[in-house]
Amino acid sequence: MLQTPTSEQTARRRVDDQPVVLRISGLRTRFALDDGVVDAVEGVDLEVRRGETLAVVGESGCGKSVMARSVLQLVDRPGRIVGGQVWVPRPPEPTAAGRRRGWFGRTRRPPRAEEGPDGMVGLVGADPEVVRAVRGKRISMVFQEPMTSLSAVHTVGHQITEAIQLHEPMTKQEARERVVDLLRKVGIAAPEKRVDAYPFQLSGGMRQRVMIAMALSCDPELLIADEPTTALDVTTQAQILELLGRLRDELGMAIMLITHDLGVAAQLADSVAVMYLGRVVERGDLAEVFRDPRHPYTQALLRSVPKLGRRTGERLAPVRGMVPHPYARPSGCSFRDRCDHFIEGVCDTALPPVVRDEHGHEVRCVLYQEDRR
Amino acid sequence: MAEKTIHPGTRVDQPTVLGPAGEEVPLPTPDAETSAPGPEPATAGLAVGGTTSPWRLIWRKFRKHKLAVVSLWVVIGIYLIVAFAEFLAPSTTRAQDAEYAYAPPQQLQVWSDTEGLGLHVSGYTVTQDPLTFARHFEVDESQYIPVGFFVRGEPYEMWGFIPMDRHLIGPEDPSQPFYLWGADRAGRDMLTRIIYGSRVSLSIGLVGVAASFLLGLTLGGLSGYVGGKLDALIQRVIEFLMAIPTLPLWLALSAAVPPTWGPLTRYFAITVILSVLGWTGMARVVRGRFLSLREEDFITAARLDAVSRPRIIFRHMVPSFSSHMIASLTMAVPGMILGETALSFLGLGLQSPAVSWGVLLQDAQNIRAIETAPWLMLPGAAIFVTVLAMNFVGDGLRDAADPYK
Amino acid sequence: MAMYVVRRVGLMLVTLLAISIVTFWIIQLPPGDYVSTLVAAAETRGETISVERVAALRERYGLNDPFLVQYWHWITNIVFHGDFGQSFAWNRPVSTLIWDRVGLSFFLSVSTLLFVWAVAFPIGIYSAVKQYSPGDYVATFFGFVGMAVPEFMLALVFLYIGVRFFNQSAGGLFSPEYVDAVWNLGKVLDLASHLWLPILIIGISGTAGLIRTTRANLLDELYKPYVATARAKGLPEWKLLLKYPVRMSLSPFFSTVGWLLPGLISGETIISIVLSLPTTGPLLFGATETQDMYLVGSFVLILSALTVVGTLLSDIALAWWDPRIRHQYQGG
Repeated sequence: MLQTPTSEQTARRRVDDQPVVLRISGLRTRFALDDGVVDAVEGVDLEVRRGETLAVVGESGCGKSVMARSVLQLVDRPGRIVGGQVWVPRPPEPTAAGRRRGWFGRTRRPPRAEEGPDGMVGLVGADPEVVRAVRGKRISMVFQEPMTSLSAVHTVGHQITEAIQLHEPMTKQEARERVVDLLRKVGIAAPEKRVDAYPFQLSGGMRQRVMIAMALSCDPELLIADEPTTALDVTTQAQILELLGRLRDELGMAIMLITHDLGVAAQLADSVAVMYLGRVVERGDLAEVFRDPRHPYTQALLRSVPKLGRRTGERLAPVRGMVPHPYARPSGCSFRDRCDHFIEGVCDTALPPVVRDEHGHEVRCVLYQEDRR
Repeated sequence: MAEKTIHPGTRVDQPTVLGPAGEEVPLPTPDAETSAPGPEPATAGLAVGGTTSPWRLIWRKFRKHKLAVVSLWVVIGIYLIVAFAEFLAPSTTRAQDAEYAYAPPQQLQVWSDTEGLGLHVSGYTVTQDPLTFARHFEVDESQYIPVGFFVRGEPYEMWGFIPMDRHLIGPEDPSQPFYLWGADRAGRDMLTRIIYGSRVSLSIGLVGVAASFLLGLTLGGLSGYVGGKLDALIQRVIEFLMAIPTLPLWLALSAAVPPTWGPLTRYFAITVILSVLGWTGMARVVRGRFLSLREEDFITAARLDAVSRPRIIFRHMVPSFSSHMIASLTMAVPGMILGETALSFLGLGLQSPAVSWGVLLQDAQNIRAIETAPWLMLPGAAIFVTVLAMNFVGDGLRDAADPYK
Repeated sequence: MAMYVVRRVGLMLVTLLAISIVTFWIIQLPPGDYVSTLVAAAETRGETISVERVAALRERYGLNDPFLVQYWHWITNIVFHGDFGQSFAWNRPVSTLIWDRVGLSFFLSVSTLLFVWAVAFPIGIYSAVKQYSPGDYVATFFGFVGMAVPEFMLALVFLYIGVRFFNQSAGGLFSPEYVDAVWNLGKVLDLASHLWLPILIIGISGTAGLIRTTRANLLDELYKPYVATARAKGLPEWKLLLKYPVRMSLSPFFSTVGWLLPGLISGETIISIVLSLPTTGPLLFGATETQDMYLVGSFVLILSALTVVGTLLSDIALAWWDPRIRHQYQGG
């Protein structure tokens, strides 16, 4: 994505003048497996501003979850971030309590991290201290599996209190009161009782509410929600989405919503980024992209979704072909094998450039290149 | 088949593992490739989930575990020794020569200053302490004992019915001493006895595991598949058996074995004792697998299709955990071997004149004996190598058993 | 929790009952009984016992009663009078022979258990966290070697090294001057200086096994979602490891303590025989050789009972440790 001009004025007009809370540039995450190398994320550029909700959509295996985890440096072995940078506003200096002294009372050198423009710091390659100061405090995360994402041997209250006490100078009692408040805020009945419950005593929807409460416990600027409703039933899903929307408006935080469900994206997001095989192929205002999809992949994706008011008898069109095997991705445009507009000698030779219109609607496809029109 | 171009380093010969009853179970060969070689050779050989048989995936994963592969060959080698013990041993277990009691090991040499090139060992000079009558051996370089292959020596009966007298290696003149690994207190060749001893020690492992496998599979399978009261009952029995310290119980049980029993009866008694206590681990594995498989969607689907219960078990469930079973079996054999050895070592298992590694180690119980003849501990080294190799193979199999993980 | 403990204690009593029945069955297993042994002993002394007297003796010892009645006499004598029967070989009540040795056996096994934990846990945790590091390979290799060496072989090697290179015997628990001494500081120190070798030998295979188990358990937990959640909170890495995955990986460990204990008792038995330690091992061994069945049975009974109690304690510890198990039995 070297040709990509940095997109300052993209996305929603509403948030255009707001400060950036997360800027991802050229991020590459690679899994070195026994049988070969998988580039799960192959150069992603994204930006989230305060108050914005960005939906990252794509099929399973397109790298959206890995991308989300890469932001907080949470990729487990054998995955590794091999390129690019994740820029965030410089986190506050660790509090005296959080800042441990070195052994033998030796004062530690200040934590190191790459300096970026606008007073931002890069998390890739930064000292663990810097990353930890961002995790949970500036950027927090809600995971896909509410059933297994909480420790089964600690009470819900304990797990949230721990998050609070890591970042805020609070006594146990204060933190506990805050937890009860948070649980009430995320819609858990009888929070004074639930605070001492173990996760296995709660339903899936309740656990996801607990996860959200935990993520919100330190008033983050950005909440990364990785498929937050996938494991839940439809009713609970609607409730959780509604809850997320309400909390976003109340707290003024930004949300990065990772989902494979275009409906979920439409319900919550302002802007959307469509990912295919580790790359962002189209991004822009949500209404704009859904009304006027440009990339053949986005078009195919939208054709495969049932709509109300569509003529009866019209068939849903699934995206043609299969997702290529991760070890054997096509050269050039990775969508070329499944694309109806494949141009031999063009699409298979080089990665298409990103083309952007005056509204900031970006697409990575040769069909929209000026000189080809 | 373009097997060689896909896997440049692949051996073509087909390795085998030993099955529960000692028969050789062929491992899936690498040329069972089902996916057509793609245009790019670099990617064509890679795992593409769903297009390759599980056995092939297991074998490929197993092959990555280098130590396990080497160990597999060691284990195969050891079982070949078991099979051809009579021929491979330089002598027989009965042959003894009090002249050479506690003779130290000789070194096999190819060069001699006097005789030039030629495979040989050196003889001994014996001195006797005039006070204690203790005999002291010195390897005497000047005595040249030529050694040859396929030489005539002690007569034996191959597999108990083919009379032969050829040995793989031995002195050209059978009357000369040949003790590569030293001699025991009766002047019997340790190497020969260790080779013969492998028969009992290793077969008891297999027979014991086969017996406990049958028990464990039946009871564990019943427990896991039927569930309910039967499951609870079998679980209690397992917990009960696992709670008892095995060695005291072995001691007690073998104390109850009448001393008058012959070697064969004892052999079976020991096997039964070992497997009666050994099936519990197997049963737990089987039950656990059954329980988790029972909840799998494809089993539910089969049940909803009105597939009969035996068919569900044998066509759907057993294949899905057979790889785990093989791994567990391999891991169980060393335990049995160690069990037999411990019992025989204490004199409660097999007894002389039967030869097993544990029986041989009985001679090493006495600190005086191992002080004069440390090579009496060599059967322990044999046990160590065997058990280590088997553990590595088992570990490799267990890691490979879940190819989709 | 209380319900759970009650339930487990109930199960333990059932297991103990089963063990005692099996033990008594083993005692009865060899042909002949107490009286025929007496008769044989008398004959070797050149005396004869009349047939009437034999019958009277049988009647007196209840040997004509059905199995269950005999069992009932045996077990009630043990439970209510501490009377384990008579040792033929020693011609003394079993209860006078065993308790000192059971005490030492128990002490040795528990010391070994502590040693195994102290060594195996840190190594296992390190091995899992630093998977595929040189340290992991060393630990793994040691684990395999430790599991492949028969304990008695190790004892023999140590004996040999002791005699050959240090010219001292590695056997025994006390130096000669302390064997019959009353307990004092010197004797305790002397015991400690003799104890480390048996503990090391008995503990090696258990340690090796536990390193493998800890490593495998922790590797199972290390990449679970809740670890990512905890990490996403901003927890420092080591604190996170110990608080979440390590703690979770200890649950299966608690449930295997019950199996480690029988193994240690077995190892202790055989090592004591080789190193001639004054614990239950050599006495039990001698008793099996002479078919002194009441003595054999008493040892099996006591050692099994101790193991079962140990298992019970580990189960209760597990319930205290893991709320999932605690709550499973709530009110039920």
